[in-house]
Amino acid sequence: MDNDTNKLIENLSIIASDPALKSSSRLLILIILYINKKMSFTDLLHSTMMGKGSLSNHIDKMKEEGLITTKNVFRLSGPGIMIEITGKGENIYQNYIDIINKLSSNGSEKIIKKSDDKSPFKL
Amino acid sequence: MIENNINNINKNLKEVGLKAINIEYYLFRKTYGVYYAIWAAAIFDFLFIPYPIIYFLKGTALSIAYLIGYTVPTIIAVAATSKIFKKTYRLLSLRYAITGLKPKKNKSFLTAMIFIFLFLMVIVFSLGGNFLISIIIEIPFFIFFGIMIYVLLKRTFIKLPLESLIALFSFWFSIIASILAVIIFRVEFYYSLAWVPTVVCWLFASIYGLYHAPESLEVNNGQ
Repeated sequence: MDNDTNKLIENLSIIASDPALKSSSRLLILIILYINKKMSFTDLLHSTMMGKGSLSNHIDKMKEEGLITTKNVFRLSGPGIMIEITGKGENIYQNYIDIINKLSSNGSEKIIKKSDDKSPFKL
Repeated sequence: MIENNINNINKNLKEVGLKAINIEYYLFRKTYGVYYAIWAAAIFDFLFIPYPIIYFLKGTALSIAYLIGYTVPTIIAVAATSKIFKKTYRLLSLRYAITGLKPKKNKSFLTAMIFIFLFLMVIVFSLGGNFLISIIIEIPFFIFFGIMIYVLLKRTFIKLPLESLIALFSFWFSIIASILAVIIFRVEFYYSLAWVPTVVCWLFASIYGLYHAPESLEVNNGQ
C-alpha cells in the first residue's frame, strides 16, 4: 500500500473511532451545523425529522466530544436552545470532506449520477 | 476486500452528505424567506423615508435622520446578504466534494461591489439625496443586485422555487419600470412608485417561502 492509501485508512480510522461520529445521524447533524454554523434545536429537529429524544441524545454525545456547544437563548418565538459547531467539529467536517475527496480521486464510484433529477439541488 | 470496504464507506459517507444537501434545500428556502423580507423593508426605506423626514425635520436633525434612516437598514441588509453568501459557498463546497461540481470563486468580488454601491448610496442620501445623482448610483446597483441574486439562486437551487421566481420577476419589472419612469416623468415620486411591486412581491415571497419550505423537506424525505 502506498503512503496515500495509508493516510486514507488513518483518516478513516479517525472517523470510525470517534464515538460521536459512529452514527450517520451525528455526521448529518455535524454537516448541517457546518453549513449553517449555528441552529436552534427546533430547526434542527424539523430539518433532520428525528425524534426529540433521539436528537437530544445525539446532541448530548456531540457536546461531550466537544464537537458542538449549546446555550439557552430567548427569541421572539420564546426560549430555546441554540446549537453551534466548534473548531473541533469543523476539523472533523474537514476530515470528512478530505476522505471523500481522496476516495473519489482513488477511483471509488460516484453514487450521484449527474442525470439524477430527483434532487432539487443542482448535482 | 479492503477496496470493497473502502467503497462501501465512501458510499455511506456520500449518502449522508447527499441527505444533508437535500435538507439544505429546506433551510435555504427559509433563509431566503427572511432575506426577501429584510430587502423588501430596506428598499421601502430607501425609497420612501425621505418624504416623512423632509416633511417633519429641518437642519441638523434632517441630516442625522437621513444618516440613520439609510445606514441602519443598509447594515442589516448587507449583513443578511453576507450571511447568504457564506452559507451558499459552504454548501457549494460540500456539493463539490459529493458530486464533483466545482464552485466558482467570485465571492470577494461580489461582496466588494455590494459594499461600494451601498456606501455610495448612503453618502448620496446623507448629503441630502440629490435625485439625479442618486438615480445614477441606484439603477446600476439594482441591475447588479438583480444579476447577483439570480446567480446566487441558480447556484443554490436546480429548480427555482415559486417565491424566488416571484422575487426575481418583480425585481426586474421594477428596474425596467423605474428606468422608464425616470425617462418619461423625471419625477422622483414615480420612480419610487415603480418599486412598490417589488416591495409587495418580496414580502409575499417571504411569507410564501417560510410557509411552504417544510413541504420541500417532506418531498425530499419521500424520495
